[in-house]
Amino acid sequence: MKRLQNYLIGYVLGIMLFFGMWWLASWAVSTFAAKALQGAVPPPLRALNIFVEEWRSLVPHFFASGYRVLTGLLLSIVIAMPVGLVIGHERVLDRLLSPSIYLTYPIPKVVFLPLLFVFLGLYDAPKIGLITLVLVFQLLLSTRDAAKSIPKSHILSVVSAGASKWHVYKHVVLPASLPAMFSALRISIGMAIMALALTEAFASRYGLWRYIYDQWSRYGNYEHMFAGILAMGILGLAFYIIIDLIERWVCRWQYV
Amino acid sequence: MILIDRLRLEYRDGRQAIPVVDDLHLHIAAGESIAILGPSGCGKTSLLYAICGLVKPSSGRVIVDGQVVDRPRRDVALILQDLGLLPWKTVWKNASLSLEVGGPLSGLPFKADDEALRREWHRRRKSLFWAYFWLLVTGAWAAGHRFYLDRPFSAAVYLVTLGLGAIAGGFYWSEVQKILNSNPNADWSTRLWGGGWPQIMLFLVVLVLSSELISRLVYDLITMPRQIREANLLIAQQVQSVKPILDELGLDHTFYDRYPHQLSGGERQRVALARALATHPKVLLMDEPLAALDAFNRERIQDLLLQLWKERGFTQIIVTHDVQEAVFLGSRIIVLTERPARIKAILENPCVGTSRTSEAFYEKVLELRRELA
Repeated sequence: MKRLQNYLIGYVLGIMLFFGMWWLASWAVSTFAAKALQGAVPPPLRALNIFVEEWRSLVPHFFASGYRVLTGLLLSIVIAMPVGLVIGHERVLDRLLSPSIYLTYPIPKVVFLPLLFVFLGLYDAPKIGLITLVLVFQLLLSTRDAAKSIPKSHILSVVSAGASKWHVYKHVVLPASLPAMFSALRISIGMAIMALALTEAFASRYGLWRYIYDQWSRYGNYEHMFAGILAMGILGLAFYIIIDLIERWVCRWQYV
Repeated sequence: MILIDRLRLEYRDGRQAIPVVDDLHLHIAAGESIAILGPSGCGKTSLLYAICGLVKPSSGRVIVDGQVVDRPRRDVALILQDLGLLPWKTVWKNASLSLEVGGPLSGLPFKADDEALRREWHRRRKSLFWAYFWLLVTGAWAAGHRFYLDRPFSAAVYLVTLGLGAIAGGFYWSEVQKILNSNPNADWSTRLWGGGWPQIMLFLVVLVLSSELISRLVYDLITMPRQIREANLLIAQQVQSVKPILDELGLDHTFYDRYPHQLSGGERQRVALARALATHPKVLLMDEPLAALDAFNRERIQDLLLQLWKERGFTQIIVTHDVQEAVFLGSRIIVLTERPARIKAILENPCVGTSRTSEAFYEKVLELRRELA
């Protein structure tokens, strides 16, 4: 209970700090910027007000984006986790596959966007595909490194008890690399939302980026735009909180 | 009991093979306690690994209980230098790891005549009930392995498979809908894979995932009685063999749910001992297990080891740096040479387990020190 309280207090203080800085920025813009730009950064309470007023029209955008990120996230976990564990644990596979991973990792995955659109159509599939593509490499590399750096004694102690390969993976390799995977996941949430914004620029009716872009380019409505940005922040925050909670449960031993 | 027959161990450093243990010949009778002394890096650890079956000898062989050792055996337990306790497992799970990994022991039926034992058993039975309930609710479980107690992971695998199947199925369905929108009278083959290769891929994914789920469901339904029986036996054996040894080592139920990093050095040592002894091994191998302890704790654990050895009558081999430890615990003391390790001297030690303050003990220590010098 105490821990939860501290957790909540941390969040509340952080959000207050964030709004304070936002307010400072909006004050600076409205005071010093050119006449035409003075509404470009609305004060936080104003944006919040619009957000509350407009939430009905924001909901489909929010869920469209959330669905894409979540699906991409799940897909990339399912692909990257087993592959990363196996590559990290089996030396031969590591030597075989790592060069090709290093070759493809530095390429910005956005360059595959046209291909994705060509092959997966124009609906949600290419968007989810790009997010998956961006996340898979992040997760794969950190899982592999974690699985590689397991102390020998952990593995030996299980093998000497007569463990099969499956047991070694289940009792040692997987739990040993879980913390690294979770931190990689946290880092890649930001990248996932970035990729999401990129893909939603093309061929989409719903999506937070679509909302933000429309509000700006069609109506020049900065306050609505900031309500959309706020929704995007809330989307990211929700993912972070969920991942935090799951980590607290899955990696219990780190939090006692 | 153990016959080390002209054993030679090497490790490869690039092209050349560096001998670690060379032409070592030794016979160890059942119930003996062997202390191995030698300069550091002389291959004592490799010798233990070879007896345990973790390392393949380049020539010669090790025979335990009449069988050549080529893989880790159930009745040979090993305690590593840094104990090898898994930080993500509680004391209870660490102690019962060898049971969990190797499956139930044969010839160890469950009897609940002890009150404390029965309470523990019922506590675990309750969580087992919820595990079965969960199994029935989710329909299938167990990625081909035994399940019991708190194992949410395989359920997670199942749910992820289900979710992936649903996502893939949804995509596939939307493809079919697109076809039907443009051509309401499409025949079945057009509906099945008329959308080109993305639809064929999706169809295959759905097919694989759903067949996987269905086959697992059928497999689980068929094998459920066996799984439940094995799970019951395993829990019973955990309770029956892990709890007594933990009790004997002075770790009561307040320790069960703690993690290794919450324990002191001596307690961690006891957990490692419990894990090694939980399966009632015939041979216990120890690789400088007490090196990291302070003098006070070390002597207490030494007393404990001696007591366990006398009670249970297993054969033990202790690799150590400590001369006094060797004299206190070893009924036979073996001194090894520099690398490659050969036998330099074998000392019979009649005063194993005598008081550390006795004259005989100190004479033996002095003799051993002269031998080492």
